[in-house]
Amino acid sequence: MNNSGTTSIFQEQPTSQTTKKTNLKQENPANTFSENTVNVYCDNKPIKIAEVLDNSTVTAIVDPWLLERNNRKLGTTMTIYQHIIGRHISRSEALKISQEILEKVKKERLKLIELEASQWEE
Amino acid sequence: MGGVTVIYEFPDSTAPIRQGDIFFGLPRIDISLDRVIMVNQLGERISTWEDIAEKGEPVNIMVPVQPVNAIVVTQDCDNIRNQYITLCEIRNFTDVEGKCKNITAPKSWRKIITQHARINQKWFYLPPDNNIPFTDKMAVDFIVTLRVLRTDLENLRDLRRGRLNDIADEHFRERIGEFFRRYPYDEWYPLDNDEMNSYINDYPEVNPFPWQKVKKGIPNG
Repeated sequence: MNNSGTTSIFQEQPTSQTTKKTNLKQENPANTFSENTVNVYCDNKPIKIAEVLDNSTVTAIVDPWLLERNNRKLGTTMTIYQHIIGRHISRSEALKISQEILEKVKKERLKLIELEASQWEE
Repeated sequence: MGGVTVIYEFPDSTAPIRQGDIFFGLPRIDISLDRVIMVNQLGERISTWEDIAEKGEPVNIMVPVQPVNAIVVTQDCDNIRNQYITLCEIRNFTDVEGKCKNITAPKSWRKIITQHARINQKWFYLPPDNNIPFTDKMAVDFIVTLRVLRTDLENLRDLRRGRLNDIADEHFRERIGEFFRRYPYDEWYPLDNDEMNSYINDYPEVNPFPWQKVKKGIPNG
């Protein structure tokens, strides 16, 4: 459950504002920043990896893990779903249709023979 | 009916399969593309072949199949190496050629078997023979084909009842070739107007050529 204890990972330019944020703890000791806050510099740009805030509702965002899980479910569902063709029939109906096909073939052949016989002149 | 062997010979069961070999009891499948019964673990479903083809995936289907008599039409060089062998069904002559239905006189039979065999090439005549056994006049129907795995047919050589002798096989080979080489022969092209009018009375579906003037009410192609 998202208790708004996470923020999205983002990369930001080292700005005076960033500097200002990192100094918040010093400036405002009442803010309950996690002691695990880490600023990692990559290519001289600070990357905020994780920062947990206790003031929940104001900073509520969508839990990225939940979002990803939901997206993954959607993809899986789409993969599993296959278009089913035709309609279900019983075994006895299937056998009946099979027999009808045989009889139809026989009837059509007899009909053709009758037609050819009627066209023949000695 | 039945009689003395005329055009058949009787190879040993170990002899290789050749064109003209006559088999009894091979499977003929009849499938309706309007009603195709698919089968899987969940049961049976019915669909049209059009829908199945659109999906483009193999399916298992239920079809009626019955044992029939048939003759090998594949050439000998293919019969020893091809994956499949093609045969054509053998049935009673009156069942293949409707014109023979009411014929009894030998003179009429002679006319059918010799003269008309040259102009209507969709069948090949097989005379009766007690040894096959063919108890009646028979015919190979070139329209109805069967396809069997070569290895399967080799294992079923006990179902072979005989084969055409060399003379009959030569005629058979030529007739197969002619059957698949037929072209639309509009035989009415040289008829004059009166002859054409008479012809259309018997064959109303025919379209006259531009130089043929037919009676009013009949389409002039």
